[in-house]
Amino acid sequence: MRNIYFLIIILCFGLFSDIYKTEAQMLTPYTFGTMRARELGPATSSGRITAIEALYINQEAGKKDRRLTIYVGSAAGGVYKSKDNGTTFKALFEKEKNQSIGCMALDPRHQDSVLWVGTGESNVRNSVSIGGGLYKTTDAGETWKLLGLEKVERIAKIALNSKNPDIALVAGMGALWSDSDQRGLYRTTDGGKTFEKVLYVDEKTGCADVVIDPENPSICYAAMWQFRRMAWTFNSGGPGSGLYKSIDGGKTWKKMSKDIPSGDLGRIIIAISPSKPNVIYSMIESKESGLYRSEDRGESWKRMSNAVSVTARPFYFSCLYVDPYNENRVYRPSFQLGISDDGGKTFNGFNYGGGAHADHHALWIDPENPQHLLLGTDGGVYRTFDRGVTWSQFRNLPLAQFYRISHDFEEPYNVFGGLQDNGSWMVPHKITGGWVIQNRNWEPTGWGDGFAVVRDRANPDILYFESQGGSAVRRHISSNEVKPISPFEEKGEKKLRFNWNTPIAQSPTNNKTLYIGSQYLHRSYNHGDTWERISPDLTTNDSAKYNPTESGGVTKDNTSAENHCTIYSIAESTIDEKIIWIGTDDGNIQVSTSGGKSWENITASLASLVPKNTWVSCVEPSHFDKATIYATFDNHTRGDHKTYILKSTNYGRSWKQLTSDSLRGFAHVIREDLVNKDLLFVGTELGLYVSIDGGETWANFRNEIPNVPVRDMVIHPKEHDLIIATHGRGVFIIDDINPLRALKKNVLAEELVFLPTRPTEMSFSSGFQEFSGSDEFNAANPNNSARIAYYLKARHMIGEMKVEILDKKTNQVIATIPAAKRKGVNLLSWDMSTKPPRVAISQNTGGGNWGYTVLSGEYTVRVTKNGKEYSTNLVINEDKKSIHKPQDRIAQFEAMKKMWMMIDDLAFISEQTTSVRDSLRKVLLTAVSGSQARTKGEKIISSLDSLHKTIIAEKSSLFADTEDKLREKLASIYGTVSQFAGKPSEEQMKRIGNLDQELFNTRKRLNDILTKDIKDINILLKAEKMPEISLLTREQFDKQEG
Amino acid sequence: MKGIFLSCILIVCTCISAQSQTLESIIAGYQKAIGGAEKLNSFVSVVIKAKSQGGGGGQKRPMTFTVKLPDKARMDYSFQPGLVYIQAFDGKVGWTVQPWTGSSDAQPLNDDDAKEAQRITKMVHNDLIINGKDGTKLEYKGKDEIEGSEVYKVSATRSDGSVVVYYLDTDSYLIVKTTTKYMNSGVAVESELFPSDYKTVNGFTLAYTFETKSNGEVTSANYVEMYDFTTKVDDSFFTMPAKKQ
Repeated sequence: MRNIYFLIIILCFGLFSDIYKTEAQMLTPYTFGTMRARELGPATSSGRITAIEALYINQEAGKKDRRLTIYVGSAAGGVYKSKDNGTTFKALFEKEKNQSIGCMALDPRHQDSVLWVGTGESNVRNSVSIGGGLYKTTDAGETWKLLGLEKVERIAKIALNSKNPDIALVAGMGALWSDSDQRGLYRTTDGGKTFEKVLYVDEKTGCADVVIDPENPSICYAAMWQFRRMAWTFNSGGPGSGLYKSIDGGKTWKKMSKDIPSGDLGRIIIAISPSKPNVIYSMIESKESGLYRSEDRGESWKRMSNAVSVTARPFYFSCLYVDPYNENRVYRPSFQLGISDDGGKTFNGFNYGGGAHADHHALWIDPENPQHLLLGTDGGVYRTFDRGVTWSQFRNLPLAQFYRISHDFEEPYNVFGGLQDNGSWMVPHKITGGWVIQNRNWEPTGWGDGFAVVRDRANPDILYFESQGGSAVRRHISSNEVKPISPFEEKGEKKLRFNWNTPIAQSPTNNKTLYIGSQYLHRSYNHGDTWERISPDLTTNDSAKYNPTESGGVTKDNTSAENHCTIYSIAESTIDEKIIWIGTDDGNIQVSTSGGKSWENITASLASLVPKNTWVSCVEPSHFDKATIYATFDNHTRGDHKTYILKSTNYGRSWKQLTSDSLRGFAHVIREDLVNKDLLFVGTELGLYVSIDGGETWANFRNEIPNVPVRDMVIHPKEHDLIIATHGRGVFIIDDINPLRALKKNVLAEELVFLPTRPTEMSFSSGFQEFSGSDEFNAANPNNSARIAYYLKARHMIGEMKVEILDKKTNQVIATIPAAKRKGVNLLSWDMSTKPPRVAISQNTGGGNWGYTVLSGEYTVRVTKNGKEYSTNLVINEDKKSIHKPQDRIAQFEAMKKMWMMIDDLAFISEQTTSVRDSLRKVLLTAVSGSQARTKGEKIISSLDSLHKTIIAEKSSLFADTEDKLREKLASIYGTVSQFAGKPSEEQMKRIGNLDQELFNTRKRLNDILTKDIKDINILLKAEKMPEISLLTREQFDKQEG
Repeated sequence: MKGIFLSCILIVCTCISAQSQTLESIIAGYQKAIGGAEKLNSFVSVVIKAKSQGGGGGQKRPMTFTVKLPDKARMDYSFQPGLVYIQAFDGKVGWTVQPWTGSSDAQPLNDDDAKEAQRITKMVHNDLIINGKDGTKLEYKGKDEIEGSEVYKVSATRSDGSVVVYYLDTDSYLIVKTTTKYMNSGVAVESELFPSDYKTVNGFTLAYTFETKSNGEVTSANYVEMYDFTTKVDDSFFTMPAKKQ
């Protein structure tokens, strides 16, 4: 009984705790409310594709509407789907915890709805991301279910039994950077509810491939691969590798040895001919790497080719395909698309037909037209209809993999960054004169694998970019000349050690200073023409960790990706140029407080918080205190995925861990806000995190940003934008982080609090027409309306809530906008225009039915929530690039205001005219024919009709020019003057004056009728005992809305 | 001690009950929250007068929704004085007037658009009020969150193939959001609506604002001025008018 009692107490306490947690106002992902990141792309240079599946389906049964549905799996940007032959794509997997896709498989029974997705890419280069299990959708990607295998980290292949797709074999490749007992081949017989590991070698050997005979699903083949990557080396191959066969549907396995190369094998890739399943191909990495062919279901093998295009980089190029109808046609995607038509004896030479990106990882062959291929590359998806002679790119997949990001100070500013295998690029953060940022707005600035790009602040004609391994280049934009500027080793020294992703930094305090890091820190004052070595070797200089030429294992591979014991991050203090911080990939943090004359290794002070030799991914000096430094550490290269974020306030002599349970993924970057020292941003392998309390608590910012690797970030000091580089979904910008700066802990407890936004700058840029179709990715421009922000503690549900804009001088309401009501930060837009005038009723559109733009200045925002009022100031500034003098802006404003009143007045005149006329018509229905009242009344009606015909066009018209009546003439000049924010032309002012006179005359004509004729007829009506005619007053009219 | 013990049991039972909702309890909670389905169902017609406004501000334009149960609906939207867009369903046929085309004549709607017009009938008397009596299949889909608010998720699969998902605030049982999925011209369409500003008038607690959003920000809002359950509406109001001579 006592136990039950305690159990109940504990249960109650637990429930109350939950309730308490709900009530407490904590920073959560929902706190960010409607603050959203803007995705910029690029899609012109997309990212690495790891899997493609496609099928033809009828959109509607019985109709000949066959469209190709395409699923694209990417290295770190999730799954995209097109339902329209590739014209448009939509991201499907954004809400899932990991975005790295290893493989996909369509259920052959339910191709239109069931797709399996294995996460964790298996092309295991140095920068590869991580997975989080096996997923399945049964509604074509609308929703996903995590089936399991979360700890496998990489799933290389899913093979479904063609006769019973509930039976599947899943190749669990496992961890790249550590031993793991999660590796192996898994089998499910219940559609993924349960799994059994059916093939396991050891903790170093994973399953890299698996296929099931489509004709006889009892026969299966699997490839086991021993592999391991470390920060300084990669090893493919070992005694664990081997080719296996099962004849009982994957329950038991036997290692094949006949005709298989001897010695340690590396990675093995298998492909089975769909048309003749007795024919199997296998690329076997070994001392005799080559393409092997079996014609007897793997019982015997013959080496067909050892062409480089076949054997190249097996760790990276890991797929092989056979034509659906021709068992002798083999496709081997690698550097290029290798094609053999003779059973693998010969392959085409190096031919990048049609300009498709090199480095291929996925292929789909159209079963209805095998000339039609979809190819997944390091730069996106390409399509050919002539089997690779010509290619077109899908320019709608924003999967770019950035390493580093920067900006300049132009207006609008440009964003710069380097991409995995796609060079370096720049893009303006907004476009003037256009609706959206398009692919064409992205400009290439460099080549190779791209990393840091820096635009020189002293000479904006210069920008620095680099390719892998520290190949730094200076580019002169105006002449487009380039000059390699990397420093060299001194005479007698070994080659300098530059990281794959070498840091280059310009001093924040001195525009002339440029830094680059090898194992030394180098400084240049002349744009890289000469370099001064300002440090000793700042790394551990461990020779055991520096031998990249021996990297690769069975197949040697040295591209600088394994360069180690290098400087990885450089940061000069923004407060004191003598303070320089560096972090190395082998775990050192060093600081100089003498501008590089001397250095202090402060690594020992980290010992209790971070494992020794953990990669220092970022050092971020505080902008408020020169002794304060933040650092992130990334230990995933030793299988440790913890988030390490540290802060020191005494030059690194002691550190504090800034962490919380809400953080996921190893950390790449930390940025301290430029205004609020408690506002911190951290990018991890699995997303963006924000802290508003100096790192005590963190919340995942996921408004548009999926759980992708966030590699770098920078805050624009003038625009207050957070610019984010993701390694899988390109660039994101959170426009204007001012609302976040005001989010303090005490604010979270408030019912409603206004938050600051950057002052609105008016823009009068004109748009132009263009009809470019829907087959390219477009990025939105930042919202150029006036922005209003407030925080709500809870969602507004009950009672009225409204938002009004008031003229500060008159305190009159000039506009109302819909209130935003969600929990957290709410952002609203006001288009900076007044409410529209009323327009004369007509059968035609137009009539000037829109407001006019207000002048710059201060306005009041008033939010009323259940009767309680909250007010704040709203500042609207002129466009900094405005070509107009203040008096010209006022002239335009006054002209617009005048016309607004004229249009509104005309609406009243029109309404008064028709109301009197219609009332009179009604009364006269009962008047005696020939009576004085009737005669007089018909005359008045005729006069009013005649007058009304001068006010509005009476013929209904859509496209043809309508009659040019006063309503239409006023609307036309109202629209014309509104197009230019400066002083209206004399011609326009003259036109306004003429129309004002016309309006005056119209009013006078009406008044004459109303004051004399109506008075007269009312006497007659009264005499004939008929109802008198009453006039619509201005007051009554003003009470009418809309 | 025994009292404390019993209290604990009571609290635990209450909490567990709150955590384990069923479709029936959620629908009962909703119907209670709005003031009772029985009384609402006793009205055969409803006229909703509202004003519509774009997200950035601008003019509020009058619109009226008129419903006569079980199957007649009409929407009149005045996008400019004298120019009224109409979309209606008379129980069998859908029709529209689109004055910006230069014609004020009514035109028949195709089947998909007619279904869209028909869906207006469920603006007030929604699937949670009808509670499956019209053949709609209701399912409780568990808890979810909408913009940081915890909600119950109830899906309604209607006989016309459309699927409406209702998200109800777990505290008040009022609807936070609805999504409607349907086919139009062979293409799947999804629309979202965010009701808010609930007020209790004449015993009914109903939403007085309906918002649409894009990227989380309000793109348009309809402000209800009045729910009128008493005005009698003639069937002819829903009938497609003859072409004007």
